[in-house]
Amino acid sequence: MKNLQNNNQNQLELLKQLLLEDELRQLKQLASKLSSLEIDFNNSEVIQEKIRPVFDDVLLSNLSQKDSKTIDILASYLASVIATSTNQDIDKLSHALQAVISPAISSEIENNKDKMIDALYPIMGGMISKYVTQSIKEMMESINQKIEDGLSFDRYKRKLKSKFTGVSEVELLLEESSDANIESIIVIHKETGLMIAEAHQENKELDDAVMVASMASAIKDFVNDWIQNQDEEMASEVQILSYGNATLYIESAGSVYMIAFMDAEPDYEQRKEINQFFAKVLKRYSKLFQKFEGDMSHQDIPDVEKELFAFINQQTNTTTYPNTQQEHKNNIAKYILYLFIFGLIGYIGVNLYKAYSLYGIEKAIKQEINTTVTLEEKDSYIKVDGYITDISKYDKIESIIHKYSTKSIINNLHIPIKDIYSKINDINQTIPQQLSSTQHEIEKLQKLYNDLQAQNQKISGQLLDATKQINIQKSTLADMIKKNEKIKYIVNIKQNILSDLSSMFASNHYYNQDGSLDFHIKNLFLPNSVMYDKDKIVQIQSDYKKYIMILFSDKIRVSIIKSIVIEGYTDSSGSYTKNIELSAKRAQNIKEYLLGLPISKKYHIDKVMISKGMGSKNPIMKDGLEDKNASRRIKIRFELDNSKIAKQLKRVDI
Amino acid sequence: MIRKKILLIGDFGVGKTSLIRRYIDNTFSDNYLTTIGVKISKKRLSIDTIECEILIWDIEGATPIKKIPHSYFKGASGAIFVCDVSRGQTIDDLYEHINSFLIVNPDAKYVIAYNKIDMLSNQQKESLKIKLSGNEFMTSAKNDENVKNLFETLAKEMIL
Repeated sequence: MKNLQNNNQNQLELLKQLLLEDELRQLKQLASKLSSLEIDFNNSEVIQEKIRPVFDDVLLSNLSQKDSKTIDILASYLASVIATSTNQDIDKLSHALQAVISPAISSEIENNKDKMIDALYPIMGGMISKYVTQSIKEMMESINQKIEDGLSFDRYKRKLKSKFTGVSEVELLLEESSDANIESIIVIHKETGLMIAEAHQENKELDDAVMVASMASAIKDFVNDWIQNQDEEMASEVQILSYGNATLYIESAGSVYMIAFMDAEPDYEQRKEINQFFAKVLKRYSKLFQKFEGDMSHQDIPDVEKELFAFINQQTNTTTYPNTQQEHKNNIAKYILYLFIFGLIGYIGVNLYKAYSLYGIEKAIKQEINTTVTLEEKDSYIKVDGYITDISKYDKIESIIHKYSTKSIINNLHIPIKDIYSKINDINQTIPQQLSSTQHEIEKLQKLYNDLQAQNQKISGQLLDATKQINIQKSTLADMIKKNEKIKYIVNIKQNILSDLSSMFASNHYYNQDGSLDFHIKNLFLPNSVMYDKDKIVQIQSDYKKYIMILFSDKIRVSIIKSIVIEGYTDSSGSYTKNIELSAKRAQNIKEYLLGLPISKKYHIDKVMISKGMGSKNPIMKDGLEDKNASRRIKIRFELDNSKIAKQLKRVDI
Repeated sequence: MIRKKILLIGDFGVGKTSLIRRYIDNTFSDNYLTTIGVKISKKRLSIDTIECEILIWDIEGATPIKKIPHSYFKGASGAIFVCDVSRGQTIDDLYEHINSFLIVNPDAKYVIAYNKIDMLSNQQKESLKIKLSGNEFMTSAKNDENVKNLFETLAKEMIL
């Protein structure tokens, strides 16, 4: 029984498996998921991870809509979050904020520059000032140290210079320590702007010095023109051109100028140095510079370039290794001694000279006006002591002193008082007389002025009339000149035509100086034939066109051409009458051909062209014999109508 | 080697700069022309075995208001005067340009370019051609016609 029960149960299980297989599998999966959810639900990290995207979306949406509640909540936490993060990991925080803050600042600066400057200046300005002040302080300390430590001739020289010029020693030292670096020098011919010589520091070569020289020359001319246009009295030339850190120092003299390309503006001392060098080069190669005509193979050019190069190198070395003061230190005692002796000799010399000069003046006064005075020279004046008997000597003494010295005079001379009273009386008497005479002069001048005024008005009127007259004359004269030119042209019209034809046919051997074209082309016509060779007529056609263009080039010429004559010729064979007939037909055939050309139609040549038979007249000779093939030819010439020329002249004259 | 300065002169818009572009080796930017009124270009050439280098000063075209500054004329060994055959006034102005130049450089050589010849008909070209003398050229920068010939004729005149 028990076995049966077990067996039934097994079968039931089997049946369940068979019938509910899918449901059981799904049940297992659900159980597994539920178990997993239970685990996640107990794990806060997993829950946070799951809901964070939703929270982020909500937060971003609220922020983008500027939800005030969200902003208030975030604001209260933001400061403490930043403070905490700063303590924990500054780099991480900086990195995170950089992405947001940098574009925000850029945008703010772009849109509100002035506001940003106002806001940043108290912080940045103070900071910059602090660092700049600190740097200057350090530099000044270093310079002061140098001054204190330096025991050289240069130091004494600087001290003296400071004393005389009033510029502080520190400024002078600053000036000395800031020499600009010369990178290139080019010498340019002033008139043409062409480069004569060039030299550069290593690796500082100009790309195309020739072009740079010309361009610099043009810019210099442009600036000079502009400056001189602004102020016509100003004749000085541009000396410095600057762009960024680059400076072109231009020194001009004689027929050339030199441009030093520098990395900063040169100071007074450096300019002086460059100018002295330039003067030396100019003097040494003056012949080359004065006669320069673009010949770059001149033997002196390499020497000039060597000198330029040496100068650049010398200043580079001086700039790079400025400390040559050690050498000077060794000679301090010698310099001071020289200076002392020089000063002493100078002092004695000046005093001796002064004493000698004063003695000379005293002697001159004694000789000229027989008065003994004593002179004493001070810095700005000469003091005169002594007695004079006559007041007139007072002025004489002053004029003698001024011959020798330009200093003012302090007069300590004793003059007899009675002389002064007498002088005053004299003056009192003469003043009323002079006053009356002056009054009279003024009245005379007033009258003269009135007369002149009246005359002036009269002359102005006359001048106006004269100007009108002159303008009329001028216009008449202009008409006359115009007429005269036209008359001259008409009178010389034949010469003008011949001259134009000569220029046009200068190298054409068919052209004759009488203005005709004699086409002695070999076998233009065969013996006894009146028909021309079609290939050879091409030459005639081409020259004929040019001939007509000149003859009919203006209205006057068109009006005075009487005829274009086509002359036909034969060789000397045959009878006279036959030859006349043959040559006339040849001329007629050529005439017909030429009248068929467009140019003849354009100028209506048919009205003036005629043909003539000339027979065997003027045969073509070669080596003493007739060249019969060339004699069979045609000739073109023109005739002018003298009556029409006269008419043209008459018309101009009217 | 011989180095010479030449000028290119003519009214505004006659094609001076185009002629140069057809011919030169090296040049400064066109900006200089509008800034200081001159643009400099360079050309190396050999004339009968003589090596030479010409610096061409392309001077901004004159207008009634803006005259050419004569300081640019100084020291030029030669000049090319350019006119536009399609604008008669530019041909009439040649005389004044040549005169101004010769006052400053009486011994200098010069040639004349009748430019933009591509705008003329064949008949017009023919009638102009017969009127030209040895130092006058019909040129077209557009079709590269006679440009080299123009510069080299002047260079020969100056060097030989």
